[in-house]
Amino acid sequence: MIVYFRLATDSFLVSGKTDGAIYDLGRNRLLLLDPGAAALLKRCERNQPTDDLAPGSAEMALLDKLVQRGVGNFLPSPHFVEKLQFQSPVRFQGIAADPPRFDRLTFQITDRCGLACKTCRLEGHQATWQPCTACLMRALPGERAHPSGDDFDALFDDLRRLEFKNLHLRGGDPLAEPDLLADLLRRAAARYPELIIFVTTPGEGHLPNLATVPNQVRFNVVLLGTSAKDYEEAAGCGAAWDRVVSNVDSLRAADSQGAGRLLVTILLTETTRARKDELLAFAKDRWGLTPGLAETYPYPLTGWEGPPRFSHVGPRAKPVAPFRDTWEFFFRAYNNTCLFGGADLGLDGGFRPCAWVDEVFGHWPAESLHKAMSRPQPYHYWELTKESIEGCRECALRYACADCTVAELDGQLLPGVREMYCPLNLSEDLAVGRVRPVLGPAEFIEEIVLAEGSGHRG
Amino acid sequence: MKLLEHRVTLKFSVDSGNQYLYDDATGMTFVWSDLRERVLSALLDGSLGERRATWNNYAPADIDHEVLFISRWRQKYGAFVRKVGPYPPVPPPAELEAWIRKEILMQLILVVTEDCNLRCRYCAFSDHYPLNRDRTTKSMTFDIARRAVDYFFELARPEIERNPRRLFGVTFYGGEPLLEVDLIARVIDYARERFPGLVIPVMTVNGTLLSPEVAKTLADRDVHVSISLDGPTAEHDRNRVFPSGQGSYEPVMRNLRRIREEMPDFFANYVTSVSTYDCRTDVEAVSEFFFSSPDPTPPVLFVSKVATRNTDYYDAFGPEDLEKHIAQVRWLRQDYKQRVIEGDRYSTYAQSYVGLPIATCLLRGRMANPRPPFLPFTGACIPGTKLCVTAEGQLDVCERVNGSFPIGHLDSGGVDFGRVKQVIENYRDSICDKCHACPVTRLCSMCYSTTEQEGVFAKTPEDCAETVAITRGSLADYYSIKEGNPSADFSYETDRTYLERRLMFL
Repeated sequence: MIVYFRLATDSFLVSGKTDGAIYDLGRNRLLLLDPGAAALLKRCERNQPTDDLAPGSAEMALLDKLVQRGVGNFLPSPHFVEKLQFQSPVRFQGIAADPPRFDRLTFQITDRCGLACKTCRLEGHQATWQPCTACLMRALPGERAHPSGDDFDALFDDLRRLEFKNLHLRGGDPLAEPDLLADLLRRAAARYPELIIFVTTPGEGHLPNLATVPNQVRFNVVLLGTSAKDYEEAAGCGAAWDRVVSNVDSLRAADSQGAGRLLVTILLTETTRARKDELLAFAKDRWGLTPGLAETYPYPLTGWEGPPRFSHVGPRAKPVAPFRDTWEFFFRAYNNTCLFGGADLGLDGGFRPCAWVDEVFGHWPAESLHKAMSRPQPYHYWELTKESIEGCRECALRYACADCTVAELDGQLLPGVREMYCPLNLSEDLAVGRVRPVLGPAEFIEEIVLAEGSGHRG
Repeated sequence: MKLLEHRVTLKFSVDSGNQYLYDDATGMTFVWSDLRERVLSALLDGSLGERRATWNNYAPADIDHEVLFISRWRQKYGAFVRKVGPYPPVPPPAELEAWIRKEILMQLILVVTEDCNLRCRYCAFSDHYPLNRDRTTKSMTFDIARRAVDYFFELARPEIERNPRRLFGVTFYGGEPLLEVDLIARVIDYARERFPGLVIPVMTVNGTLLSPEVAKTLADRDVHVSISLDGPTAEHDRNRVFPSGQGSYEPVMRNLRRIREEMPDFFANYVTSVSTYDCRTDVEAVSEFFFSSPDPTPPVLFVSKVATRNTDYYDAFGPEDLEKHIAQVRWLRQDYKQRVIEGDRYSTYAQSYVGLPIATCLLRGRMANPRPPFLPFTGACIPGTKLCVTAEGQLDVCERVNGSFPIGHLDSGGVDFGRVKQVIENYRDSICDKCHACPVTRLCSMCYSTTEQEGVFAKTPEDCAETVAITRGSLADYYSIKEGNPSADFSYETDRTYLERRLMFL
């Protein structure tokens, strides 16, 4: 009897270059397939019969295993197995366009800063990881915008109308412009008190009177090290360390109830890269916080022993981000996990998808945020899925990692950058068993390997 | 409060004989089998332990597999069963207003005239439809149109503020709207000046007045125009006639030929067709006409049946007409299916007539496309999604209702949201009392216009049975095509503009 094997409605075969993976949404797990297993599943999903597979063969054993795990089944005839969808597949524009779900605007309010970091304003000369969470600044070519108080008010009104949830004020150092910062926070409190405002600062400037800062404000202090020596090396200003640590102490004291109004981000540079754990421990011990990480490398990537890697990436390791539920899988499949919901407003008044992406889609204050967001460009970036990223589109793990989009985009433009955050060539690595120990967590990923010599490789 | 549970699934078989199950709770469809059916039934009535002992024809491992499958879909996705209690109340008027203004308002319809230069035999404003308004010589003044535009965009302000990509259709309706072409041009210019970048003008016309000069007026304003075109001469002229009885095909074609020649971009990008049929329509001939006629045949957006409710129009037809028609439609469906499977071209008439109901199965709402909880069933919109303004300034739910359920008037402050609440409650009480147990609510197109009688909404069990039967047929066709060619292209997935254009004329 001719028999067919098909994956279940909520099990998705995601192809890699030669390998593949089954995303089992019923159980929130991922079954990595070696090239032989992937080839077998591909032909099954094309409704090709399995009657040529001998009982007891490695192929039949693999399919039986999948049946036992509930991710597929044998069928007596070719069928169309509709895949799970949460939404109608059409996204309308025009008169039926759904409102966008705006999340955050990052807004560079100054380029002033008391530090002179070697890693700042290195447009085109650095490779970065999550630079938007740090205080790194790009040297923008245009003139700076000159907004009035009314322009700021209009911006806050637009943020409220468009239902943005968060505003990230960045610099330079926003604390280096205490009057401007105070004015902005006052206007925000008056016009959109529900907006959560993050002030990203190297922490060296003048801290406002915390008693007068509205509850909607959070401070994200970026650390360049843990000593005067570090600051001397990184920014030519060892004396800054005492001011930074004093400011963070004050912020911590003001946030003694642990309301989350203080965040710390460690910027890993030449000075600190090797001491990542030490920096993390310092922040934990002193302020009881687990810092976030950002990182920068000088570019071109020369003078390194072996290929440089961002610090969260091991030689053959890449952090996997398990999808916590079915929604998250679909979100990753249809959207850009990093850029979705966001936009950036630079010191030059340019609206961009992100401070580190070049494309400008509007000019403030001549054009409002609302007007800029009526254009298609930002949404193009929101929907820039892994299928658009060279290297990722052929990786079976593409919905199981959530990388920084800037690194991804740079990775397809700048030679050598891709390997910095994604050292895997999954097809090759999986075939020779090099990635098995590092993909974890084990309960999320399981490896399915077709026995050698099965005759269905490639 | 104990919720009632209803199994809401629909089994169907496709051309190959394979069985599938459509599940209205999730909007999903599953490969189905006798064993799956037995397991689901047993799990639902709690008799699995007892009944599986009698299933000697099945391997225990297969039964276990199906139990796991059904259980997972029930527990994780809430499949197969709808749990219902009483409807949540319709929100109070102020809340309803805020919600409509922010969420759903999308189209202004201006009935610019109730007059027409044709006397189409199936016209909704003819004597065949005693409950509808009559054709009159009334037309809208610019003042009423201007006030309607201002009121609509003020109403839409929260939506405009929140959704910077949203555009709004402004539809000119009649009668024959081109009898008021000067008014239309003036209204568009006014709306564009007051609300730049927000307006998409749309109209359906009979084509007889669409001279190149008039077309230029419309083209200059980016108006999307749909021509009522029922097929080749014999078909079109059977119903679409002047008061003298003379057919209108040739005047329409004369205009379209000139527009195609003199304004090719406008013709290609802004002109479409809508087509109407009855039991005597030769659908094969009409489909062929739209596929290969040398005459200009703009792509068909809609194929509509002459309205069947509250009319004596169909008294003129006999059973033989119906039988012939059914046979022709069956042929058209098979031909369309085959062409889609094989990747061949097909006529836009076939695409609209038989393809759209099939593709509706693909486009149906899923779990994350919920309807408002207070009106969760049928295809009825929340009144206010559209705002239809009559020539005298009365506000109706849409252009297709007969005026029995006005929801306000421009002279009395616009939409009466208390009245909207009443209309929803009336409709819900009259139409939706058994919908919770229906297996095809996500594919039901019943609405105010298809259920209205004089002052009430009403339906019969046969109406629902017909909806279920049509849905079963469409699902079967869709899966037959997908079995034949899993990557079959219905155009709608790849050409979103077709659907969006269609939506503007909906």
